[in-house]
Amino acid sequence: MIELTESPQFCARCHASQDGDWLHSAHRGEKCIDCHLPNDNFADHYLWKSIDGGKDVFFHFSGLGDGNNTELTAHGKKVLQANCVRCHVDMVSHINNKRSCIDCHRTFSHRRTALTLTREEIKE
Amino acid sequence: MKKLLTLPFLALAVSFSACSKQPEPIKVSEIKAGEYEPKEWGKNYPREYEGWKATGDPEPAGLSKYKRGSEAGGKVYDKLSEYPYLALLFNGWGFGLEYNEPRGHMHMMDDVLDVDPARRKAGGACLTCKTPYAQDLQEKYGKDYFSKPFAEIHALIPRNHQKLGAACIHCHDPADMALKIHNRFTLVKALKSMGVDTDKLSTQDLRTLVCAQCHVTYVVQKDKDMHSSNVMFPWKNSKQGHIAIEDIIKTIKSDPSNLEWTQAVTGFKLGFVRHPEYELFSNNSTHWQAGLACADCHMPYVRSGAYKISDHRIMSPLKNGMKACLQCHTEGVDWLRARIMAIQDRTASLLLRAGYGTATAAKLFEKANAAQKAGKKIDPALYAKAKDYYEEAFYRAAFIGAENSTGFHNPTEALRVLGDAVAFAGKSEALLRQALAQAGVSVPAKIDLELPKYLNNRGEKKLNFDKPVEFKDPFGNQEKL
Repeated sequence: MIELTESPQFCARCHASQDGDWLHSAHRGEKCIDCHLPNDNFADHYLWKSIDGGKDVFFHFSGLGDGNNTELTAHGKKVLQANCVRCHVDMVSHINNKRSCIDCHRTFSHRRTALTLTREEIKE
Repeated sequence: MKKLLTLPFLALAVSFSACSKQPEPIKVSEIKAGEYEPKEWGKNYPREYEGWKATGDPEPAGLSKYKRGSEAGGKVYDKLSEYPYLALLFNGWGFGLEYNEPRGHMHMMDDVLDVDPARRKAGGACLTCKTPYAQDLQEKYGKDYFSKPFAEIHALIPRNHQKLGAACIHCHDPADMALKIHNRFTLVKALKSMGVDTDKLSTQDLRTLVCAQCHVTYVVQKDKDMHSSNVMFPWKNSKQGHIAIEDIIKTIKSDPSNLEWTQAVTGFKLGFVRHPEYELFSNNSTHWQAGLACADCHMPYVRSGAYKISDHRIMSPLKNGMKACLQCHTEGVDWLRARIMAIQDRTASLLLRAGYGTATAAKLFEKANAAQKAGKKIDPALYAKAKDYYEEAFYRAAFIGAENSTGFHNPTEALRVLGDAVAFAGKSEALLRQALAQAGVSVPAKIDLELPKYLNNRGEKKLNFDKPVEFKDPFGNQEKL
C-alpha cells in the first residue's frame, strides 16, 4: 500500500497535467513526494501524507477541487523549500536559503516547465 | 500496557524533535567581532572576497552608454563635460570644479583623496560613506567628526586602512554573516524617522538597505558658521517604499541648516541632492513591487565551484552579461539591452531639457540681480515666485541627474520628476522675462549660457571641457531650443 501510494504513477491518476510537466523537467528522476511531502523524519512525512492525501481524495471525489489547477498552500511551499535545501544543501550554504528557490527558478513550477524553450522557439 | 501505549507517542515526539543540521561553510579561522580587515574575512569566504577585490578591476568597455566611469582604459569621465549645464548650475562650490563618474567601490577612497580639495571642504562629514570607520569615529568624536577638516579626521583612521573603502563589515555581522546596517548614525536614524522598526527587517529588506547606507541622497547640515554639524537623510516626510522628491524638497526647505552652499550664478543659498538610488528604486518601481532588492540585480547568485554565492563583484547588469536580468526575463541579452537603452535614451533626453531649462532660468536671475544692482526695479512678487519655481526645478533636475541609473531604476518616476522640472523651469523663466520686461530690460529670445566660462580652467587641476564625452539629446530636440 505504501509503495503503491508513493509512486508518481499513483499521484498522476488525478494530477495528470502535473505529471506531464514533471516528465519534462530536470527532476523527473525524483518522485512527487520527494518535493511535496516533508522528508525531515518519518513521523512528519506520514502525518502529512495522510493529511494531504486525505484532502486530495476528498476534493477529487467530491468534485469540489480541480486536480489540474492546484496552487501550493503556504505549508506546501514551506515543505517544498525544505526539500530543495535538503538535496542542494552545500550549494545553498552561502546564500539565504529561507528565500523561496522557486521564486527565481520559476521554470520549476509545473505550469512554467520548459517556458524558456517555448519562448526561444517562438522567437525563431 | 500503559507503557506500551506511550511508546509510539514517544517515538513520534523523538522523530519530530530530530531537527536537521543546518549547512555551514567551512571555517578556517575565527572572524573577530569588529574585524575591519577584509583579508581576515577572506580566509573563511575566499569566493566572496575575490569578488569584492575585483570591484577594483576595470569593467569591460562599451557595454554601458551612460555610465562609463569604471571602464577599461582608465579614462576619468568628467560629469560636468558629459552634461555641460551642470558646470553652470554647480558653480560656486566643489561640485562645479571637479565632478567625475564613479569608478567602483575599490576606488572610493582614492577618488575622494584625489579630487579637487574643494570637494572635501565639508570636513570629516565626507568620510561618512568612504570609510567603514565612520560609525566609530562619529561615536567617539561626536560633532567634531562632522566639522573638523577632512584630513584631520582621515588621519584618525588606522594607517593600514586609510585607503580602505566599502568593506565586509559595512554589510555583514562577523559572527554569522547575517546582513547588518553598519552606519547606524545615518541610515538607522533615517529609517526610524520614517517609522520603520529597524529590529524587524527581513534579509530581503537588508539586501537593499545595506546599499542604502550610501546610495541615497543626504544633507550635510550646517551650523550658523557654515561648519558641518550632521549628515542627515531627508526622509522624515516619507514612508518606506515611498520617498518622493516632493518630500525631500519639503524637508530640505524646512530648515536653514539644510542649505549647504551658495550658487554663484543666482546667489541663492541652496540645499543639494546626491545619488538617490535607493529613493528612486524603492518609490513604487516595478522591480521594487516585484520584491526585488538591489543585490538581486547587482549581486546576482552565481555558481562558484560546488556553491552558489551572491556575486560580490558589484556592478551594472549591463556589464555583466545581463545575468541578473536573464534570471527572470527569457528574451535574451540583445532584446533586454535594447529595452534598457530605450529607457535611458528617453531619460537622458528629458534630463537635458530639465537641466538646460533650469540653467536658462539661473542665467535670467543673474540678469535680474544685475538689473536690480543697477537701480532697476524688479517686481519682488514675480521674483519670489520665479525663485520658488526655480528651486523646485533645480532639485528635481539634480535628483535624476545624480541618480546612477539614467532612469532605469524607476523609468516612469524618473520621467515624471523630469517632466515637472521642465514645467517649473519654464514657468520660472516666463516670470523672470515678465519681471525684466516690466523693468525695461530687454532679453534676447535665446539666452547665452556662457558655458565655456564655467567649463574651462576649473579648480586646482585647471580642468577643461572634454567635448568628446558630452551627451547629446538622442532625439535631437535639445538643439532646437
